[in-house]
Amino acid sequence: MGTRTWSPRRRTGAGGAGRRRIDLLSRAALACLVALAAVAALGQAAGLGGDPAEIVGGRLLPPGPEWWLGTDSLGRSMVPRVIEGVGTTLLLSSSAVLVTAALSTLLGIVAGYRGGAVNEAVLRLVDVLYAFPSIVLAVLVAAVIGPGRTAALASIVLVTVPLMTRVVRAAAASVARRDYVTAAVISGARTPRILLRHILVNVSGTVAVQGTYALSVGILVEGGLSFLGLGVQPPESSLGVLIQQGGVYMVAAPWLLLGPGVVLVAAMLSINVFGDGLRDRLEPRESRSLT
Amino acid sequence: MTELLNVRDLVVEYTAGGGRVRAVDGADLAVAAGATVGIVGESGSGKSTLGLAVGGLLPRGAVPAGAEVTVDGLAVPLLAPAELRRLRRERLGFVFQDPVGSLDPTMRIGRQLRLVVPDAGGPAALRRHLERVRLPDPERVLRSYPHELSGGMAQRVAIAMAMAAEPRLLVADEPTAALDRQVRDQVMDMVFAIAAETGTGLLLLSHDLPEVVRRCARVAVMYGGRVVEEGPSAEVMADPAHPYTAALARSAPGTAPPGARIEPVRGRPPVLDGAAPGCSFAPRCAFSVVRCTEERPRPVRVRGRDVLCHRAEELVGAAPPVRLAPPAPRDGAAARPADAGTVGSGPALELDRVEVVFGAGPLSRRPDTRALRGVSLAVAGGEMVGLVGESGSGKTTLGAVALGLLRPAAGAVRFDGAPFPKRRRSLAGRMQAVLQHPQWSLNPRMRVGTSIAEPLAVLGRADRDGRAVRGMLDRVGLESGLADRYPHELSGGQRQRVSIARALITAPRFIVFDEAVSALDVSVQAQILNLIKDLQGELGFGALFISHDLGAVRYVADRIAVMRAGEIVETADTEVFWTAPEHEYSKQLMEAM
Repeated sequence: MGTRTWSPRRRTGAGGAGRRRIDLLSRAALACLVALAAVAALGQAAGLGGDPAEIVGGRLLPPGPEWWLGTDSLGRSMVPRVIEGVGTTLLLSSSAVLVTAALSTLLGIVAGYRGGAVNEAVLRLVDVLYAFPSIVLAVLVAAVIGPGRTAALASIVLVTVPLMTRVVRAAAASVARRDYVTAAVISGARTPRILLRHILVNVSGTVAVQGTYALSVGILVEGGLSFLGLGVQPPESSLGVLIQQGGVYMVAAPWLLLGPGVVLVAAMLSINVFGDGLRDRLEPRESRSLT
Repeated sequence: MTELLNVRDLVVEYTAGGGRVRAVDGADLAVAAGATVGIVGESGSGKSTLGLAVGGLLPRGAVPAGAEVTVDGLAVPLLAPAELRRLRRERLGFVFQDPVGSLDPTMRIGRQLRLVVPDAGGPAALRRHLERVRLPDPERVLRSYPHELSGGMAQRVAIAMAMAAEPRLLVADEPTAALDRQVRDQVMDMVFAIAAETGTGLLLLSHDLPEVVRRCARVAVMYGGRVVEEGPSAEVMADPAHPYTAALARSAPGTAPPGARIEPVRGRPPVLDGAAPGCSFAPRCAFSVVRCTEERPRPVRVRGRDVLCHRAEELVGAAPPVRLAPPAPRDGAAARPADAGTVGSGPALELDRVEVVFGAGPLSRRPDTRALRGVSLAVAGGEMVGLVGESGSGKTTLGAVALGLLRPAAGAVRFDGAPFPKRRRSLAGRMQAVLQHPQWSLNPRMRVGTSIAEPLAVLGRADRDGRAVRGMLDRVGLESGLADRYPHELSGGQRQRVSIARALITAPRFIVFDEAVSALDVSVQAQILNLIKDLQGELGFGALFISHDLGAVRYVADRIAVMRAGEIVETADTEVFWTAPEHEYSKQLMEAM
């Protein structure tokens, strides 16, 4: 998880209007992310670089004018394979994160608002999940339901739910203590109304920020799982599958790692930078004064 | 030159969010060695910035290099960093508002204190510093971490640290604002005693004019980044020369006799982005003329004081003087007309020997806390009962019980003559509350109008055409256009008005005001107190007004109940209480005022 310990101090004063938008760097990161997703989606639809499964020439050819990223051990062009891999990875992790967001938000706001036994139950459940190292948890899931896309998706959810639930619960608990929530209770509002209209809207920023972090964790988990051969199965490709296959020929054909490696780093970096920007915008620290 | 501190025509500008804010706009101030001077101003008046400028504590570039700020003859803006540190270490002491925040949470008090005590000194020396600030059990305090101390104790430690090097000047910025009223006075007494003992000059920054006047020999009133009036305290209070000083003096709740209206300073203080073209108080001033908005006032000597007002000389005597002495008792005939609540209706709310116990948890070694020990209190319909007590006395717990948020362990609560219903919801709309923090009282993601209408929506009565909301906004003195705004666009006072509107929209029979004005500036406080008083007179709801501020309580309440350690020690009609409090603790409270 990309937790940043240092954040630039900003004086929040009378002219708060300048803080409405996220900073330039984060916008660039978002653009990079959108570009990756677009290339993956449009590239697969348009058959960019040819058929990923087709054997087009010699094995392990270095990058050249014909095969921009070279060919793999079976003689398949790497460009369409990387495009397909990015697409699979992004789709898998973002669907998993949507599931995580829904689950964590529900658990988090109910636990944070109700407190007491509900809170304890949710926290202990989260602690149990948290106790497993993420890759061990993923291996366990793959062993139970069999390797494949579903295993990868379920693993990502199980790894990210505890992370996100904790943060959302803490945010909800602090919102729940605010006077407007008490005022709503005094007015006789029922719990669902309070959860939806007062708690949920005020933790939505936290959910969005945690979602970006969960996405990067998801990509890593998918990569790790496929690398171990427990996630997406060949001949289908994902970033993890490609890195695993590239690793085998790392000495003879290092370029096999170039495409998937660069894309993975770019994706992780832009997600985390964007997440930080989003956090600064949506959850600004309390205004600091000189005293 | 005998002046210890000399500030001449100081300008301080910050850049904030791309814009410029001029916090200090040409302020003049002098403090003689060993003198006590108070700077009084609302938040945003620039007093804290001025205090920081004295120690060279402002961000680089905020103070022009040529600015004249001298401490002991040293020009602060011109000092090299090392010289500046030496100045702070040897000749200046600072105490800020938040006592716990000014101590390092990772260090024991003993270690922190040793950092500032010159010539190290053994444990005995450290103990002496703590004894000087009247801290009981200094041994234990030295071994404690800041979070183990109460606010009052932490502030005493902070003061001990500030005074350790026996500075020439102590700058105290609202040093007791975060403390309880009773502790406040002890701490304040102690600061002034030590300053007198060591011959330290004292610059006290505060928003509380009566307090400053009582404590300091001289008072400087700041407005819009300038010192608008400066002079001997007693004279300034008795005979204010600047219209703002006069307005400020009249807006203090403690100064008005019961029954009389306190007069709020209308409008809001300015936010400047450059030098003010004229007098910055002109838009709020009852005496302003064209010249006031066009020409910057220069100091005029009136009654031996420097006053920044074009009309100061003409206005001599126009601003009515303010009484500080305890007011004469009101004659009984002037009481509330016919006490609407007692006619034909029983008590709106009745607490009968209510007990509340907070369990410390099965694993805790601490004993359970008995927050309320058999409290009985009745509030008639149309009556406003004030509940005073220091924090921890159980007054907020009592409020929570009254609102049905907490179920008492023993005793009975009756609302409108009937026992309290099992389900809170069946009280919906008949009982409301206005709570303390203006910044948290409204959902930041909800439009103001939606917030106000929520209690209606909960009851299934939607306010489709927005008429009810507009009516309420009008009732609390806000424009109906505000309904479409979000809370962050509103000032603290406006938000508290919105909270009141939200509480009133269901025409409740009973309202609990829990510290409803405590977080507001004095002038805004006065406006809100007046509003509460007027609305209660018009609408006749019963109310419990919880506050630690006896002045505010006295101003709005018909009866006063004093709480201490979970018990109500005295209940009396306001004017009776005012003239002859019976319980020993009530007398202490009255003296602390």
